Amino acid sequence: MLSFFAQFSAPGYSPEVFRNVWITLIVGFIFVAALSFAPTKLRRPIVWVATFLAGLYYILIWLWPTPVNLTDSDQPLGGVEATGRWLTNAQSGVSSITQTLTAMLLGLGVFSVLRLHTNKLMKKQKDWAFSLVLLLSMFTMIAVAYTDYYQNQNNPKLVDQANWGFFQYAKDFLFDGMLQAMDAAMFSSIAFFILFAAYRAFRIRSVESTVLLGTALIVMLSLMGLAEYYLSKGVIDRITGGNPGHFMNNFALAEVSRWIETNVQGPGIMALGWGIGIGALSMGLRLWLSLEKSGGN
Amino acid sequence: MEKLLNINRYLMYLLLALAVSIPFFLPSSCTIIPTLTKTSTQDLYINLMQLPEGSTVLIESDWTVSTRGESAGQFEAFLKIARFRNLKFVLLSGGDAQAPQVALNSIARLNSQFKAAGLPELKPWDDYVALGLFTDPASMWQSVTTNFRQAFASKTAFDPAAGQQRSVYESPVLKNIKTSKDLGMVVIVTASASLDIMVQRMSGKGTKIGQMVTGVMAPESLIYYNSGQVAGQSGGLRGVVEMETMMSRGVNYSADGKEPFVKAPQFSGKIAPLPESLKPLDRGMSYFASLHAALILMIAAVVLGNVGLLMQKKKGGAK
Repeated sequence: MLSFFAQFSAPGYSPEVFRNVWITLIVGFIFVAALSFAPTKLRRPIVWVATFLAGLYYILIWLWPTPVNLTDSDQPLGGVEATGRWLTNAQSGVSSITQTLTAMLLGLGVFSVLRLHTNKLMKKQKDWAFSLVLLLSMFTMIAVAYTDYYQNQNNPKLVDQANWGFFQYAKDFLFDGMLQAMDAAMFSSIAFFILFAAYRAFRIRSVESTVLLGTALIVMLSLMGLAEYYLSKGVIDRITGGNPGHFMNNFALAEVSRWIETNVQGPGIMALGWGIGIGALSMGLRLWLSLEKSGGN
Repeated sequence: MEKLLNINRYLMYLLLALAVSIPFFLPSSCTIIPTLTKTSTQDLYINLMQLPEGSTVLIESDWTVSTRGESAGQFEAFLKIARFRNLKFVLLSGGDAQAPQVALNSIARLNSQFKAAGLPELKPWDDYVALGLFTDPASMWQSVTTNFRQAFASKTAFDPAAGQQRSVYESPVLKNIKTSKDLGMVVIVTASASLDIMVQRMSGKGTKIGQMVTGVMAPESLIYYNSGQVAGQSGGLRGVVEMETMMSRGVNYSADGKEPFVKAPQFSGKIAPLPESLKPLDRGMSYFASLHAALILMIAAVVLGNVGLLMQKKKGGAK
């Protein structure tokens, strides 16, 4: 069984990897085809069993006692140690499977985008020109980036810009020059909305909003190194005479903002995290045991 | 009064654009801002600088250009420390498909700086191995803690000496690392919740963790530092500037007999500034004046809005 999982960690580019890819593809297609022909009543238990087994591994590796300092040449003492070793050794194979499965989601996303926009383009629906731009951009990036990747794998000298060819410059232009720049531009536009939202929302309309405003102002000031430096070094140090034990040091901007962080922000975030954690645990259990009606149907 | 309550949004957008742009046109000497360093950032820097030379650090780079203002400075600070301390590192990503390429671009950019300064470049295989994107970081970190020598078993990199792809475990970076406890440190530069996934699986497993996060994430990730789960934190642009301050001024260090600029009472030793060849150390500082201008504008806008509201209330009361 262990050798089965070990296959999923074969070194990249090795013949074993390509062999396993083909085997997995064929077995996968057969499995999906068989599942689609299976009666509906049978499908549900198959999904339940698969979900339960997948979750069971992670529950076991979390809870099962792990043998300490057990080397590969040592014989495990009894079933508990043997199971612990098996769970530990199977981890990398299980990890490879989950990496592959989650990577397939990217492929699923690409397939979905392709299907949607190809349909739009073929039927010349509204804004079909945008679909054309999207598909052209996607295929150009795929072609250029894969060629660059392939060339880099076979010629490590391409790390140095002096050895770049057409595809390296093209990828640099498309990725760094266009995609990244547009990404940054879109993200930076948030700053404008935050400024205007702060102006409109931070109004002293009640006691609560006044407390919120005061706290926000202190936190904003504490983010400004200049304000914190001169309020601490200039104002507080003048009052305290540089005595670190002086009571007034508690009112330095750095101290006040740290107090807010550790005594107000921190506990608030932890309380939220606690609630979210309990919810996630309960949802995780329901999914693992296939108690979620919508997931099981 | 009405005008104060209803300032035109486009005027504010214009003011913000000007406020953040003008500092970039000022000489760098005008935009150097003295900044106090927080204990959390000090601890991160001290831990990194205390790593034995040649140690291997596992760094998860989960940022893209959308948070370049903060994350690029943090990543570059790490790379400069790695160059200075001859640290080797394993580079991987677990949050964004673009992140591996963005990190490699940063290394290439810094390598050209190192080359110009006469320093050795960071070489793939010898100084670092790039393992790419892990679409399921949770299971990857689980593997790192349970069976390190198998966690990256499928990963290969080009060995220039052998002229072929070889297992990354045969590289100088990983050949002596048997378990995760042999790693000098695990560092994450992130703008996402990948931090939680990593800390939940790595803390308490005998490896020090350092986190470099965005300003938005800093308050919630500080909880990991306060609880002792991570060794140090650099948060946001302010964190980058603090790192750069320590890199350029040292810690508990004074060359001319004056009081040290960065005092770290929790650390008994002292750390000298990084050498001139690694300067300039101003990636974060070059943006800091713009951040100040934006925050001042935001505070002014909030104050003006409230002055208008108070005046309106006063006028209403007088009636």
